[in-house]
Amino acid sequence: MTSSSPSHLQLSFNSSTRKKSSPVDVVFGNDDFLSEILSHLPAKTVLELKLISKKWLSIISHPSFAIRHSYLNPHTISGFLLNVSYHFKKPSSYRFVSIDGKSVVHVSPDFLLFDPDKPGSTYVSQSCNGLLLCSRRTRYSAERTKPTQYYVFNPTTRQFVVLTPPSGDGIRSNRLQLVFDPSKSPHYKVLCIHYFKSLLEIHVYSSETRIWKLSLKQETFDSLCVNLNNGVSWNGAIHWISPTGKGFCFLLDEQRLQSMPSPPLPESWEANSFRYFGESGGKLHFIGLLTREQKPDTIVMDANVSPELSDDKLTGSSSSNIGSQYVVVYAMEKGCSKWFVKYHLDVNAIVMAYPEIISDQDPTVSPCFVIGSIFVSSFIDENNEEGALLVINMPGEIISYSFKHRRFKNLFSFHPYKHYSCHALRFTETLSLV
Amino acid sequence: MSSSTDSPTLTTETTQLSPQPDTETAKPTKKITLKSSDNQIFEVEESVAMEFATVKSFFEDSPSTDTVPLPNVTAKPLSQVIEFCKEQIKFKANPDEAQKKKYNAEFVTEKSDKDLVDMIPVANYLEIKDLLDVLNQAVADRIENKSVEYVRSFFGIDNDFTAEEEAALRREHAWAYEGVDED
Repeated sequence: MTSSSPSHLQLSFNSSTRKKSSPVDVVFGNDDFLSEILSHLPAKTVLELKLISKKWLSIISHPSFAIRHSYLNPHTISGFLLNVSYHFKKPSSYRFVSIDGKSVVHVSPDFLLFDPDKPGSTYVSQSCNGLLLCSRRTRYSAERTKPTQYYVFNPTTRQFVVLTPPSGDGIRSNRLQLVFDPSKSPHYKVLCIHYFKSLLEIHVYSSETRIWKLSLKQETFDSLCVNLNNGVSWNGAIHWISPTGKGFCFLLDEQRLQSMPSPPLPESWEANSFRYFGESGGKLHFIGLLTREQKPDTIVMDANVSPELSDDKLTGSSSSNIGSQYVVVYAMEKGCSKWFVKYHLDVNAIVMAYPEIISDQDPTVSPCFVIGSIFVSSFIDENNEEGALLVINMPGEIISYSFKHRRFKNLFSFHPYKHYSCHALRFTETLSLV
Repeated sequence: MSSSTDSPTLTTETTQLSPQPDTETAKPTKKITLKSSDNQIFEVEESVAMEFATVKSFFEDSPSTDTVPLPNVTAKPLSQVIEFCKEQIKFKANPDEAQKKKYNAEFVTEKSDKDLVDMIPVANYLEIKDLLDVLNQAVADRIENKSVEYVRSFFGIDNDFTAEEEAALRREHAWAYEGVDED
């Protein structure tokens, strides 16, 4: 991967170009000084400042500015893009929720109508440091044979490119995976993973060359052992893990597969206790629900429970099935080949704060949403103000839990709907080029 | 903060500021003389002067010089830059990130818009990267979430777009302008 770390401002000003110039004129007669100041502003503000003057417009529009700006602001998560579906009671929609839950924006329906040539509904499958991987399926039967249209879309600048993944020799199943980290390279990659029976093919697209290349072909692959949907890009490789904790990764530079260590799950671990697999703050995370008996010794009882919750109250409510569980966050650091328990949350704390999670046993519940369990939608490690944040889907609302402040916060209410499914994509504003 | 009053009229001025009084002459540390473009003389300790990469390399090239001329730097921003670097030396000797952050924040807060802006080319010329970052962030903070009109007046810039061009630009980025703060 080409590493582009634009060099720091290195110029001395040329006093001969201006007679008796004041430093102010020097600063604002000099594009490089101005461009450095603008690099310290959020992407959205920078876009607004295009209106200042023609000169500012030209500085901000220049590709080298976009590259420098994304390099300096690589992973600023401003909130979540929620893809909500109400199980046929209401059309599914996208919402933007700020990370503190204070601002909720109904993303306008034309948010995803960025390609005027192709009307239809667009689905966002992945969000990666500000770029979205989108797909659009043709709905009508007459056009059913048309392949799915894929896009890489920057919602901040509203730029997009159309991707045409290789078709694969008669292989129908394919998965696309976006890989982008502006702190490493201004270019992104897209993986197209074909698999069928024991055959696995990985094609890689680079935004630098704009071409697809067959990167890996393996004929002895066991596609049943992992879920190829939940690929996670971390540490120069794409990682896949099964709910049982078995995983492997694809090393992008070396173009080969490698096994990855399993989290130290208890022997009695069951696949349906798996909740989340993702990356944040340079670490890989595996989140599951553990029962009191499965709890690793490293977990100190009640360490993460709000102070107002006494031990008595906690043990009192643990008679219910849900209350005897822990949400456990396993993490793996870069350069490490071992998982460790980084955070845990006693589910009783959730039950105390949100009693409806057990009291509300509605028999007409959609099969997609099982009342009495905890669903983890996202996890952000080391977010500045809130510390580590766990995003949990609850009946009728989405909440976040801050491990730092030991506090729950309502992020979004689906009122009057109780049953929904929601996919929370991390949202970053970026000027990155597509 | 005197920002709104003096910013729109950023003009060249003859600085009336006298050079830093040299209070530490009693110390036997080596002093280096810097001469600003407006012929002000600054005597600074060698350790402070070596914070300026430009001055450092000047001395490496011609070690026998006793006065370093800084033809692009006027006295007022130079005195402020020296003040900043003196403090940074102390933090180098006794690292305290929290105190350093606090000092840096106070250093920029008490400066006028013009002073901040004036220091940028000086910090750049003298190659003081830490200060340059602090200044760029400070100026950025002062224009963040401000209207286009405010930013124009902050920098004394005239709008050179026609009404049509401006309207077209606003349309192009309607989502960025109106999207995330509403609702």
